[in-house]
Amino acid sequence: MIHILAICASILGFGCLCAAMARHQKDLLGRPLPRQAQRWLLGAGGALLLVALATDMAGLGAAYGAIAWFGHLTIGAAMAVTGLKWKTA
Amino acid sequence: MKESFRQSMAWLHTWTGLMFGWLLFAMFLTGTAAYFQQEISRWMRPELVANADPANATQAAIDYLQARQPDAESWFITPPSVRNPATEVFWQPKKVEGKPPTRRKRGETSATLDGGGHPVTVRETRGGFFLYRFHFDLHYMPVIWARYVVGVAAMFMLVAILSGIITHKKIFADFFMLRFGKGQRSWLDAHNVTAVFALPFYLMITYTGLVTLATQYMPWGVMANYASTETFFEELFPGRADVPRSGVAAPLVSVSPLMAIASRTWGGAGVGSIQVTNPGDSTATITLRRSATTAIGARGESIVFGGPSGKLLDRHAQEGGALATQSVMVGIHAGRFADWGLRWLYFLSGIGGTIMVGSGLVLWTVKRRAKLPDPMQPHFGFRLVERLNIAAIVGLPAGLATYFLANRLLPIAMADRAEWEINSLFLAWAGVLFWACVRPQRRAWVESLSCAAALFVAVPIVNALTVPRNMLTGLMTGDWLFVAFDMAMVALACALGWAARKAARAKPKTMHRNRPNRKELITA
Repeated sequence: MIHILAICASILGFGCLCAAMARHQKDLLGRPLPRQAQRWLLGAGGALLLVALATDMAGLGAAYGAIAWFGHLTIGAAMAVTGLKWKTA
Repeated sequence: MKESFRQSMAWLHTWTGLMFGWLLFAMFLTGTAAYFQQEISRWMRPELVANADPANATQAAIDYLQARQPDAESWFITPPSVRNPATEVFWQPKKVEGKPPTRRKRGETSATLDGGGHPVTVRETRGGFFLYRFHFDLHYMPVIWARYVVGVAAMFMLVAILSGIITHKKIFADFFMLRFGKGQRSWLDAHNVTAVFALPFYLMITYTGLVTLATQYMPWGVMANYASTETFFEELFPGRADVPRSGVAAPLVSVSPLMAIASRTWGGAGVGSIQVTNPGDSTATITLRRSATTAIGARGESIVFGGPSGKLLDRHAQEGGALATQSVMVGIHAGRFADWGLRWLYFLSGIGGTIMVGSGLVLWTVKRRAKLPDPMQPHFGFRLVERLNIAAIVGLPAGLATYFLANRLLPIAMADRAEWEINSLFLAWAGVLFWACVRPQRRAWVESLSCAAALFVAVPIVNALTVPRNMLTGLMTGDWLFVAFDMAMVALACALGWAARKAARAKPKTMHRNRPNRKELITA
């Protein structure tokens, strides 16, 4: 359950980071975003990755949580790219 | 010609990656499979079913050893656990005066028992343990040399990772970049994405892998301070020195209360292994070691009890900072502490590493093919790399499928059966190498990938025909191991089949010549 929560936070986080990048906005959102929105997405993305870390550490303990977090980041990033490819396919 | 720092790093990355890529691919793949070594072993010994209570099973194992090996030097018992339903025992036979200890075959000094202490007839196999050992001991060569070879490869893996990070100048800008159908650019994207997404894992696994064998690779500290490596290890891990038997017979106390005491001392952690020295003698001791599944550190604490008295004699828990660090590094590498969730994360990261190394190897040829003077007639070095890539990337998966098939198909009573399972793995691997050498390279990719996919499809089918446990019976009786294993085989077959299809449909690379975006392709 902790794994699913953390993976969701990680996917959302990388999704925000991806949407914050000008080169992916056309594929992901269909239109470019203003600078202000980009900055917000960047902040939100980073914050969500920290939420994933907090979730892992709260659920699995600091040590196991930190190890799991790196795995969850990998899955989150991979899913974000899969989502991006799926949107453009 | 003066080169920039980044260019020289790119050169370093390219050539170290190529020199060691083939071996690293094999190490990554078998090491990844080793995260499920117990599950693979269980699948390869389908005769084992019952899950017994560890304390009762240990007592039963002691009774078994008492009846059959009363005068052994020592007994080692691994009680059943969630991941292995059998009790594994082995013993060190009594030394014969004036005769050096002879190398014995595995079966002569070990046994697999059920919960009641009765030997189970299981097919002879090395199971997932072989894959684990292969990833640092290789095979058909002395272990010590294999470990040097593996160590050099791991060292260069570290070099390749660091130089790769420097070479890949747009880690953040290209973070989510994955473009399909663009030849070399797509290979580079795939290599970058798999490399970046699990980069912390690769750094960790490579570095901690080197740490596991640090005293072999960097022996000078030990050599400068100790007369021999043995004295170093004795000081590092004080065991009880060999006490000669007194000759006074004394029965062993019952083991389950001792296991309960140990477990209480370790805050509820289970006992991972039991060693009994001088069994049946008044000098007997019983050493209990904490299970590796309950903490990250790979080396568990131990407790020593007097064999006939059951009195607490000794406790080994205190370790210095350096030892604890080493123990945790090895633990993080091997992941024995990991529950199912973490184990899958390890496994997926390992698969990512395997794809990273494989895509890097392919990228080397893809990048150079377009620049060849005559792409239809490449020079010898290029052809060699091309063929070795096929043999390394497709050969080992084909070998693994064959290893599983051999486990089901070789006669149960065959002599040296376990060794022949391993031989079949390498025969299949050699077969792919041969095929890669005699066929045109594109056809060789398509054919060997298809063949490997077919072999993985065959595993569940042959399993269903030869053994009463399979995916269907698993779904009905809750035997999830067999469900998951069959599904993993089908997933691997799909992945290899997909790759074969891609290879068959790929346009010849020469068509990409002189494209306007060549500039972009130079990186990597």
